[in-house]
Amino acid sequence: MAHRPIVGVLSACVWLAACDPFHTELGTDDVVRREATEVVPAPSAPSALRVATWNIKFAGGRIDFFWDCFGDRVLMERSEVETNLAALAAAIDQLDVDVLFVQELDLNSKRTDHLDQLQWLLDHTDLSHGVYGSGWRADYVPSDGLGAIDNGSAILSRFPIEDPARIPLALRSDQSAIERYFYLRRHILTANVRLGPDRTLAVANLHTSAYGTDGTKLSQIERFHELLTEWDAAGIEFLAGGDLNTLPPGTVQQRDFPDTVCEDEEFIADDYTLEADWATPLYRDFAAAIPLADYQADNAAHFTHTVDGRGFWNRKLDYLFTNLSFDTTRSQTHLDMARGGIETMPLSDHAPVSAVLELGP
Amino acid sequence: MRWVSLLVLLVAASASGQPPPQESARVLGAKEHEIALFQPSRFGLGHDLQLESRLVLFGLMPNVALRWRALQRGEWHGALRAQLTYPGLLVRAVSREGAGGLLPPDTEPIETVMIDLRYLQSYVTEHVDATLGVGVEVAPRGRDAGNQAILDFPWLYPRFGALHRSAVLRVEASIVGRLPHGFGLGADLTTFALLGEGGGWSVELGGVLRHQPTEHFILELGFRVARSRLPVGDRWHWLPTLDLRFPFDRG
Repeated sequence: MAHRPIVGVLSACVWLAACDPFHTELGTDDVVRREATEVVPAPSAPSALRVATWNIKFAGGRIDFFWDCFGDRVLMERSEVETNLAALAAAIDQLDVDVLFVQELDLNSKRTDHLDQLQWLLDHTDLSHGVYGSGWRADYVPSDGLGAIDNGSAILSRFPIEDPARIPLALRSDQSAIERYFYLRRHILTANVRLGPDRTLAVANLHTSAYGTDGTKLSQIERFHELLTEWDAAGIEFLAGGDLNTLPPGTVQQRDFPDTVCEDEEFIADDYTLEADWATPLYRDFAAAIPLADYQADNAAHFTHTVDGRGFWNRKLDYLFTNLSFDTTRSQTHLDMARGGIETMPLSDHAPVSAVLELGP
Repeated sequence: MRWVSLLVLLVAASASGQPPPQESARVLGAKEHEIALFQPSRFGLGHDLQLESRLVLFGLMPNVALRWRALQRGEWHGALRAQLTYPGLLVRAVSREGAGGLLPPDTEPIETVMIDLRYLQSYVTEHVDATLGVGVEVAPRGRDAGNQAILDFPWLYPRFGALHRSAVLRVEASIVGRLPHGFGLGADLTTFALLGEGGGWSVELGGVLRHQPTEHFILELGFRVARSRLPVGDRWHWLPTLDLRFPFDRG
């Protein structure tokens, strides 16, 4: 009987140890809905939507961070974050989109001085409605001085957004348990964009694993394709896309990119030769904003990524798909001022892809 | 209510015959000492003075405190406690690449000494030691530490808040008693208020079960729960705690 208090305390410790002390676990409902401080009325009964996808690198611009191996920066000053966000907001307004998929947006991270970037963009662009799903959240990441982090993907729109949800994807299996606990948790962010009283558009924003060699990325892309197939079979009209971190079929250069300078294998993403057909089912079953034939005719015209701010886009990782149709004559990869009307290289390590989605009757 | 009554009864069972609790305004007598693993080790200096230091941290964060029992009237004891802490070595140690890097490698630590002043008032009977404390912590410095050097690791933020704010106010209440068979029980509530731009607060609730199987060994198992509203956002955390204390008397 005298040992009961000890047993109780030990049991409590075991129970507590089984919890999530840094709050890194994420579920389907770990989503955030936001509106601009001053909501701009949505257009009525659109017959087409201008849409885009853009990995904004948490408004890091072309600062050389430690993880891209071009520098050693970890944290940004508030003024740097706001300056870069202002440039992104100006570019977003120039894209003149109705729906925008964003990857790598910080909601409350020490590296971006805890600025709520979703609210900031809603308040400084024509897009008044937003939803966000965390892909990397921890009260504290005890590595490299990163500290608190909440980074994920978002969908911004001129139209109200309903039913946001986060579909968790497979976690990397090639990491230790402690690394995995603090690591990114990839997901598909889904929602319905309310286009009118009787019409919604399902949207799905994906950002897959950039690193790892355990096949996790393939399973994430397959889950994405499976979701879109289910929607299509159910007669749900959708727009889907994001940063798939894989190359389209028919890419000429699949390895040895000039911006690969990391020696730490954890941050190397330089060989896509085993991924040559991972995106094939998406191109086969759905309409792409940049048709595969156009891409294969001129890879470089549609590159969207480089980690080297002093170089130029050298691979395509960003996509838009639909089961409706795009006006492909108006699809655009915004490489620079001459090819897309925006000097995008200084803004992020990804270029935006925009298109016109035809809604039909 | 039954649980509260039981807690009070258990805590009030007996507080006599043990070293005064760490939180108390009472101090160790001359030549009475106590080495602790995580809590401050204590050394009775006589004349109602007690020297304290967290020895396990001393190499990384030199720290020393003096507790002076300034008054005793019947069951009431009052004490002043002053602590000096140099955080520079610790900040350098945790500013590094890779795992364990709590701060970026290029963090410039603020050269300062943190000054923690507290007044403690204890009500001590044969059965209970209840203490209320109020204090303030400051860190005089020539420049602001900025975003880069904030130790926003759970539990550390309010304890190093003086490095980034004007001051940190601290109010704490605790009660300690003893159970039969060498067991004891304690509970405390500690609040931190970060003053200055950005502000913030944190409230910590702690509970501890103590066992003293011999005169010279005390084992403590417990927990702490914190609820905070800080510039980094709203937070709550828990922490199981363990400590070993070794009281002895050189006399």
